[in-house]
Amino acid sequence: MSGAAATLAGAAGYRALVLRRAALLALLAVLLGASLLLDVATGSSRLGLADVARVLLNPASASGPVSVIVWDVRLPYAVMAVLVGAALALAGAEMQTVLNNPLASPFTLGVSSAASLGAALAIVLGVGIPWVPQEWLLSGNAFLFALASVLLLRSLSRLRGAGVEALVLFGIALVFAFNAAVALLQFVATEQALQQLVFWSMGSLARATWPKIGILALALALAIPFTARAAWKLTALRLGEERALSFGIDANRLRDGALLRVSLLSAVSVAFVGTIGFIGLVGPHAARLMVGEDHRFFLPAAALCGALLLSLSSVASKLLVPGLMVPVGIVTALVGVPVFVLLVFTRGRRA
Amino acid sequence: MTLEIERLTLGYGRRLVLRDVSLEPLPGGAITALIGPNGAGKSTLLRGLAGLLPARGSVRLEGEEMIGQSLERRARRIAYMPQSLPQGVALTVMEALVGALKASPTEEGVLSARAAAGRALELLERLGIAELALVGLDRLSGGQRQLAGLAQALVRRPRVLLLDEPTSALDLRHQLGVMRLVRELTRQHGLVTVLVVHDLALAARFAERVAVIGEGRLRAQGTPEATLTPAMLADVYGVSARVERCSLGHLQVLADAPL
Repeated sequence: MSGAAATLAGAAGYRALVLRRAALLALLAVLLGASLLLDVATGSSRLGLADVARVLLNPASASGPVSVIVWDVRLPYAVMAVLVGAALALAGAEMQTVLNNPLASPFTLGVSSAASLGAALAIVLGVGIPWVPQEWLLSGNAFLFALASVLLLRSLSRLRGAGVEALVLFGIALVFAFNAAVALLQFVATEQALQQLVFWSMGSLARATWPKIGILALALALAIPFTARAAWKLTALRLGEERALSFGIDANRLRDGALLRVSLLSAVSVAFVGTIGFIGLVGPHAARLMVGEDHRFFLPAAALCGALLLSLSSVASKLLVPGLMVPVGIVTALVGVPVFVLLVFTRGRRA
Repeated sequence: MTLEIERLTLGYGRRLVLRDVSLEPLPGGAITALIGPNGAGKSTLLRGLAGLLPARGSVRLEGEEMIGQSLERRARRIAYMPQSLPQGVALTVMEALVGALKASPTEEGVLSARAAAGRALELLERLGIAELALVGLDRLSGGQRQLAGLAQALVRRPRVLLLDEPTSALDLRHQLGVMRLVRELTRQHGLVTVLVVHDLALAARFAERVAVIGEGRLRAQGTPEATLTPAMLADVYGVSARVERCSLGHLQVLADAPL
């Protein structure tokens, strides 16, 4: 191929690549919409998809019971699933990039364990933040501990300028420390408190309410503009820290900003729905397999994958045991692993 | 374009790796090769010039002091290529180049994504690897990776080009290809190019100037003919060696035995 021809082909090819990635994002969004509808339609009293769509599009026209089921029960859960999935996967994606570690996620680096500790303190000892109303005590505590754990991680890593690897190790050490503290609380807890704590840590969408959804949406709305602004720098960081520095990127500042967003998103999510692992780890990997690591596409794809995964898990959690809603934290891995394995293998065949 | 380095001292924390290096002003359009044994501080000097290490002393580009400038400001005119590209990165060659360009403003300001893509392709064609544009970085051979890494440094159109062993992973043909290309770009754009090489014959052939680093200090500097001598090789590398001209007149270093 002559030089000019190769360049022309390259230009067309690159444009096609960008279009293909944008199309994949659109496809994911459509799938997510479908999954959301399905999630609302699924449950102990089965609703038709058409009914659901009608009630959602035109709330005034719907009859009493259907409208109540859709708006007051099912929709909050379904929307919460989408937002939590997006928040956790986005947090995981940023974490994996700035820590340069494919195993990083809010779950593996102690954020979820910290939230559990906060929740355990509230449940077992009734310890909480002053002036926080009783019904928010659990979430408030979990949030505070999750946030504090990321800040602790950050300040530990700053001591004597420890590297990124040290930060990951600190995170894993924190997981063990928090888990031990939770176990200690479980040991001294009453049977009733123990049950409540175990149930909390399974992660469930049944705690979703519109105010909580509002808060999570607000956290996402706060984080996303900063994430979008950092997208190019995050892409460049993938080429290696030294190279990124030589491109004029202040890697420490980039990392700090990302960890701040990660702590906000994961703390709010975990505080409201409990421990949901897997999504924050696998959402980003699924996105990476689909669109690569140009962060303009990678970050939204990760958010969409996470949302889709949790939304599908929510549907499955209602179908798994008829008449019973299994805590979604249990289902995510059951649904996610086959999807993920499928993705890895189809990718392998194409390669 | 002139780069002046005076009394430059560099190190990691309290451990100083390079002390008090002063070089004759490096002119634009010429290649300076940093040579010396392993661990002598060549890469450290390069990283220091790129602004990646705390530094004392003075590094002036066209009279403007670079030490103490922000990374972003330095990155407008200085490009640095480390020895390796990380593994396991899911980016194509093009995406990496566009990312490198969009990471911070270049001397020409902020480029649109479309303009950045155009410029990246132009460069790939110039490097003769346009057909790799859409290939993932992880699929590249060792030599292709090195070219892709070089492209990431060049794409920002720097005035100062710092290359750490740009030919280490390359076969003979590609070594010559890359060095010719670097010389051509250096002359054409009047770049100040500083590179670390281990192959002394390659240094002698392509560099206008050679700086010899040993044990964290500058040991010699000047033209290849003046610096590549049996005495220097014995002193700095600890080998007895001959320096001879081949039938084409290029300097060749023949190492005979460790001292």
